Amino acid sequence: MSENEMTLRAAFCEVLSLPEDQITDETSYGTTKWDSIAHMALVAAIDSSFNLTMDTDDLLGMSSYGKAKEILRKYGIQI
Amino acid sequence: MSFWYNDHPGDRIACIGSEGRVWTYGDVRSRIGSWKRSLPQRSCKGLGLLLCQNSPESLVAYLAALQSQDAVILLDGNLAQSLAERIVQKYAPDWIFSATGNSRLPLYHPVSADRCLLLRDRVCERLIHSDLALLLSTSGSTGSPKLVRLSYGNVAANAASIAEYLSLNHEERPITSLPMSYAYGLSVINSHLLTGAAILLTDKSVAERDFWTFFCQHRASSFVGVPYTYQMLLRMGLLKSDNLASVRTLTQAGGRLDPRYIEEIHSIASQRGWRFFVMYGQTEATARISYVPPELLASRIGSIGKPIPGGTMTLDPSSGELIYRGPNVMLGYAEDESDLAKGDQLGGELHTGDVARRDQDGFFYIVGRMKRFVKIFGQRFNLDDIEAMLRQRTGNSVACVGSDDNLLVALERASDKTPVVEVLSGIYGLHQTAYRVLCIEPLPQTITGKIDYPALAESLGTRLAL
Repeated sequence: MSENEMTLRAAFCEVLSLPEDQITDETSYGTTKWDSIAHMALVAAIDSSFNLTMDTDDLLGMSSYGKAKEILRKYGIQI
Repeated sequence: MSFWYNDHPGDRIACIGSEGRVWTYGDVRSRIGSWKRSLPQRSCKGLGLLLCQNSPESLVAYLAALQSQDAVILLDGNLAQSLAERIVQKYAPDWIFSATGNSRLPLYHPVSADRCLLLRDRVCERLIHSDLALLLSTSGSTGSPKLVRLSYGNVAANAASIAEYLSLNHEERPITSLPMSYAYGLSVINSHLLTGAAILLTDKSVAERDFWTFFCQHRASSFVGVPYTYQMLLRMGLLKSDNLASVRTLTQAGGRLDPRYIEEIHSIASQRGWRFFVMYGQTEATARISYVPPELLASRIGSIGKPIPGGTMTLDPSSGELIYRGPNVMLGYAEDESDLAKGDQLGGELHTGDVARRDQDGFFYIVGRMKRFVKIFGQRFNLDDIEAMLRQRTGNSVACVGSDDNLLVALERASDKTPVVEVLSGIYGLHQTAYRVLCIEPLPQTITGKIDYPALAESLGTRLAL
């Protein structure tokens, strides 16, 4: 696992209060504790961890852990 | 005529569900008719419980209850089963409508194949006051059994007043960005049904693309939100996006929005030609108490405005507490079943618990609170209630202080942290970013042995919720 993926995974574990082995590409909005409030906490965690500002379309598109990785690649992050 | 009896043209759209179902006012009328027939005939006024979603079915069940003059409790359909059960035990509703259709409750049996309507096994005869229309929770997610009792007159008056100051007509297309069990969310539905508008019903959140797809597809004309909703919209860049192309009006209530955000939204609204209403209210006043006319907002940032049509606001000369009088002031509270027989206990006068000041032009500003509560994501949480629950769970001393969206729980024993987090996250459904749990040994006390909240707040470096 790359360092970037470890960072992303840590953000998801922290915000969703889930153990690491329960975070998969399919972990998605509406399941577990991922609601609108957790969504904003994830956005804040990702923005600060990777030093970027995701745009509107990406914020709405980040509906699963897998999608979050895809979006980060768009911003040139190797993950 | 009240909004629950509609005489709008039968072919006019009343609501659109998020899966695309379109029901006209004629459809709603006939569905209310069949809904009423599915309830057993009774000799006395009954009590219903709606575990609702923002869906056409929940809307019909709500209107059918009002028409049949059964009092009805509205709760969020996503509320934890254990909390819904607490309400059921306290109030023993005669029937329960569960929008999700998956409620299993002892003493109740389903009457429909979809399990959405449940009846109490044993019919109870009891006196419910004839004025009692609606029972709403002031803190939806805690499942507190304390409810606000609202009359038919309260609900009708507030809907009419809101429709008047927002200048609503049948061309409006509001979208449900708040739950209908929440007073503000319900007020949007009531005031628009009154004017014959088409309501877009969805449970999706503004953080989901599906919400905005639905929003754009049906060209929503207005948007409502609590402070947190607007913070999300700003952070996500949505207010400047094309998603809101069809919007004409924004309204905000449910707590104090930081003046910086009000200014930012005001500026965007001015550029895009939207009306932006900053408003104030309480469940105890059905929903709405005051608003700032949008054309005056620029010079009144931070104000809660002036009273709505039909209401008056004054300040208590000694305490400065804001007193509201109007036809929308609740009958009183209910703590359990026995309170359902009670009539009006307030006489149209509400002590809001907020301390305010009034400027020379009659605009009001909230400057503090009489009671110990905080708002978390627009929901009111009484700090004493949370403390009582946590004390019961841990068996030890616990103290809560904090400010809006920032609850602080102080413990004397570090080992209590796990059960406290279980209650806050598991039962109250609070996200961990909304609270902090800290260990302070011993908790500061006053000379009389009570928890010294100002000292505690100071040691935690926070502003007191006072």
